[in-house]
Amino acid sequence: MATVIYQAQTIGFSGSRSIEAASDHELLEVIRDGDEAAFQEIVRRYRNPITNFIYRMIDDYERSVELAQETFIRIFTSASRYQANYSFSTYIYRIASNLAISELRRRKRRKFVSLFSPFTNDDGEAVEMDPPDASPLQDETLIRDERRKAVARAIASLPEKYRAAIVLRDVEGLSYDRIAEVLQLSEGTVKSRINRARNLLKEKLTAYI
Amino acid sequence: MKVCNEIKRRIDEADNVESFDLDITRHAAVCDDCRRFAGERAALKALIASTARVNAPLNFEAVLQARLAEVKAHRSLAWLNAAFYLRAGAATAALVAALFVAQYNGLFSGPPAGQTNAPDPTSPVAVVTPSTNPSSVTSTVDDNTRAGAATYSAELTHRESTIAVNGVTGRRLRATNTGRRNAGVPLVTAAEAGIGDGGAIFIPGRNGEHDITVPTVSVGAQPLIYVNSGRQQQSARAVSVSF
Repeated sequence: MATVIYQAQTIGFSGSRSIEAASDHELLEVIRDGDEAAFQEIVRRYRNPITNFIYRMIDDYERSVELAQETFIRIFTSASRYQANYSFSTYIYRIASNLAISELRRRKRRKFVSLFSPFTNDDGEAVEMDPPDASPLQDETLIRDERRKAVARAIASLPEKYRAAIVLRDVEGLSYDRIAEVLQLSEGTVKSRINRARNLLKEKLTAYI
Repeated sequence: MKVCNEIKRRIDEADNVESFDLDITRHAAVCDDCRRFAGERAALKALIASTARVNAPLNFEAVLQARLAEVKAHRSLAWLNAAFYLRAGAATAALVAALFVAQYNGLFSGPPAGQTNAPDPTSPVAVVTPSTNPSSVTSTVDDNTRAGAATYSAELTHRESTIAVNGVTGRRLRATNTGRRNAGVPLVTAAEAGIGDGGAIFIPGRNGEHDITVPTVSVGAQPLIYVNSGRQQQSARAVSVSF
């Protein structure tokens, strides 16, 4: 990938500096002026984490790519309204999280009937049944593939409020306070949701633990 | 048990499952339940982390640029959306309302053609005395008054006469109206009404006791009369009339 050189005289950094060395906030500053190179750098930095995060949330790769692109479009179009109160990653994860949750709710309204008959959990929310597979495992590749699918299914079957928290914590590796900022919840609520999500996942993935 | 719950909570919230605080390690060494819990949590985190991360496709940026160009093009034509028409409509309505108010206040009802200027207030002024006869207008005009000023003053007098009905007001006027009504003749003659010059007229109120000042406003081919009966609470209403 060609290195984009950041031209100080056009976008305000001191001296000629690689755009790759600029911080997210600095890039956002020049994206406000419509700088496309800075925007491409932001896309390069976050396209994979955001796509992965949304994919873990909605379990649909094609749609997760579309929503990741929508996230970046919103970053670009609302760059002038961005305020550096939080880190940029918190900001972009919040947009992605909101888009993913909206997508989940939209799907819920469609009322797809799953072959895994919906059950309700303690909170009265629909939870798909995902019984542990106790059959013997045959091949290492198959084992790995099956384990990956089982984890994906288990995460996808979590209620959305638990899903966002557990994905941000255990898949994306965000700290509790950052997750609280992304989801706009208290840190205690985030910890509680992650704990419950792990307990649910442990039940679903007993065969693999 | 209470200690175990606290230890499990701290194990669950730990950033690194490999290295706990010393008190947790000491407790887990003697508590099978907490040790098992720590092992399960570590295995679960490893299992979740072991799942392959998905990456954005190779054409991600190309598709994004295309979508962004679409959004930019859409934004450049945003002024053509429904909100634009709403704003334009509101502005037009405000303009029409302003024109109506201006017309209502007589801003556009200047002197007749050929007499566009009002008499100079510093020049000799026509002194007007209301007449008791509606068909006659008596004006005392200084000799030095210009003809235009005299005509303008006469018009003002005519309007004043229609308002005061030639100086007859109050009870006398009501008595006159009652007499005319009983006789079946129009309460207001054309001359009194001042329709010819778009002035104000009197028409009886609903209870026959109120005299209503009706400034006439013509909008296009449909003249509208807005009635104000003198009561503050009563809103204006349109009366369809034809001349």
